[in-house]
Amino acid sequence: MKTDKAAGTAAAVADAVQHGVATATETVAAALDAIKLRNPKLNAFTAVTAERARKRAAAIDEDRAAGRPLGPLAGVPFAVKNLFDVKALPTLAGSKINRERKPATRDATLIERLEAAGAVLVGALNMGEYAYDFTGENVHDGPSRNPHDIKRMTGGSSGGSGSAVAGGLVPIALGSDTNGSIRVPASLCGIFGLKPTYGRLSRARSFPFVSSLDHVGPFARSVTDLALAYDAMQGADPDDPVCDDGPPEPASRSLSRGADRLRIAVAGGYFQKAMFPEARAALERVAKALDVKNEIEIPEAARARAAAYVITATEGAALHLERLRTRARDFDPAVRDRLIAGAMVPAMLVNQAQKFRRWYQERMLELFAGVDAILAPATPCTAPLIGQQTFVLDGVELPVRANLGIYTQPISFIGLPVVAVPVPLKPLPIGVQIIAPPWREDVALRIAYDLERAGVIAAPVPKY
Amino acid sequence: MAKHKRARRTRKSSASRPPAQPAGSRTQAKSAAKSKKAHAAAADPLDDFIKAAAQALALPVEAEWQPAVKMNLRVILGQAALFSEFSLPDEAEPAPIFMA
Repeated sequence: MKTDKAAGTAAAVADAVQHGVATATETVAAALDAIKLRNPKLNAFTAVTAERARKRAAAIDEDRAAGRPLGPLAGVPFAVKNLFDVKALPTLAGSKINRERKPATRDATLIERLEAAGAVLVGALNMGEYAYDFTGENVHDGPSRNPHDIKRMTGGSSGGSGSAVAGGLVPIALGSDTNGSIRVPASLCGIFGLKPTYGRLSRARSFPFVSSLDHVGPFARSVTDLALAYDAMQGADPDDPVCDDGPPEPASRSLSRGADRLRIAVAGGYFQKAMFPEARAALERVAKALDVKNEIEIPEAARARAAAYVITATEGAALHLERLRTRARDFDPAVRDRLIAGAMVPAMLVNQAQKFRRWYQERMLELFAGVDAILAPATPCTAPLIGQQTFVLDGVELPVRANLGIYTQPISFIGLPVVAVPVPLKPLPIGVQIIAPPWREDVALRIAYDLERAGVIAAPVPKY
Repeated sequence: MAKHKRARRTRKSSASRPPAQPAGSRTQAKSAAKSKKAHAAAADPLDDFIKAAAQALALPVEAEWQPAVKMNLRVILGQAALFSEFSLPDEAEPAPIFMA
């Protein structure tokens, strides 16, 4: 049975369950065993919903025994960043304060949709406090740890999601991405992450951070799994006013169309600066495999990142203002001090940032008239050590926390879909962003699938 | 009272010292620099702004948090300068538009 913790993919698990090679009860038990065995080292989970998972798995097995059709993710264990509502659990969002919330009365939309497709929720995952984080560290729950070297960061803020998938605890996890919180941990943990177009997937019943920048999406260890999860979660949702009301646009069936006819370019200028040799090597390996020689300049990317930075600080502060007034001491100090500063920023600067955002979006859409996809590094470096405050690049000492997102922020700023793909460099993997025009996740996934088939990208299995 | 006397003595001592004495000069220069530095730190408009904003918004900024809040605010304002100096037409629309 190909349900091994580290090697099994969601597609293989679902296939085994659908064909009676394994039961959902067995696949879920394997995941719970893996969590029990490895989570003490990885600190990926903050809650394990074992009883609920066993019941759900038993129901799937009953469906099969009764001849009822099973979903495309039948018996696939998955877990979610702890900002998604899980019925009967308080939604922590990585904070101490939220532990006092009443348990959620209903699952987040994306959990409902994955379970409708046959997947089985096995728990909630560690994350940076209130998602204001690129490291995967958490002062309340401890840091999530990178399965490739547990002394190193997972990246954040969806750190537990990166750790759980890379560590083989679950084949699929959900995360959120406001400035890079799916793509950064995907890069540092060496797995696939999809940040869809802004508004593509419902955020209903997930704890917000920056409404105008918040995205949610899946992590997986293969492109097929990423597309399977993505397809299962699409669709309009009146509970999220930002969610697109158009019909789902499944990507799985077009994966094998390949990337041959696509016009792909490498992002130059801003996206070629301030990176370690590993990031450059990964980008060059992907570009070479796709025979990409065209380089384009994304205009004013530094200003785009700056505007995202300001919108994040101010909208985040607005969200937490009352908690800052009354519970300031209960925040992670690093989060609190940024939010307090954000609360003091004059409104005209936020308005300027939103105007610049429109201008930048128009220039990017003009750029996409000439290319179908853009390649860019996902992070400037491989996973730093947990607790590391700075790194030295080209003789300049730079803060780790802020700089992990330098290549992701200018992209999520205008909601473009991105697949972060892992390049299995030694000793540590690192990611590359495949950036597509709005609503063309299928293009980025096709390119990723081609690269995966060619053996250029892969989620390396960690050594335990 | 004692403090007052000490201050008077210091002034007297200073005034009676010939300006040409090198040791005294150094002390005076050091003292002036220290005082200037202290004054500059106290007069940093960002400190005043944070104090006023914290009061106006009813935000508790404890003394030990102040340097980090200030550092973060300085970074945010520095980032804001990057795009706010970028010229856009008056007609430029902000990105989020409410749809009725």
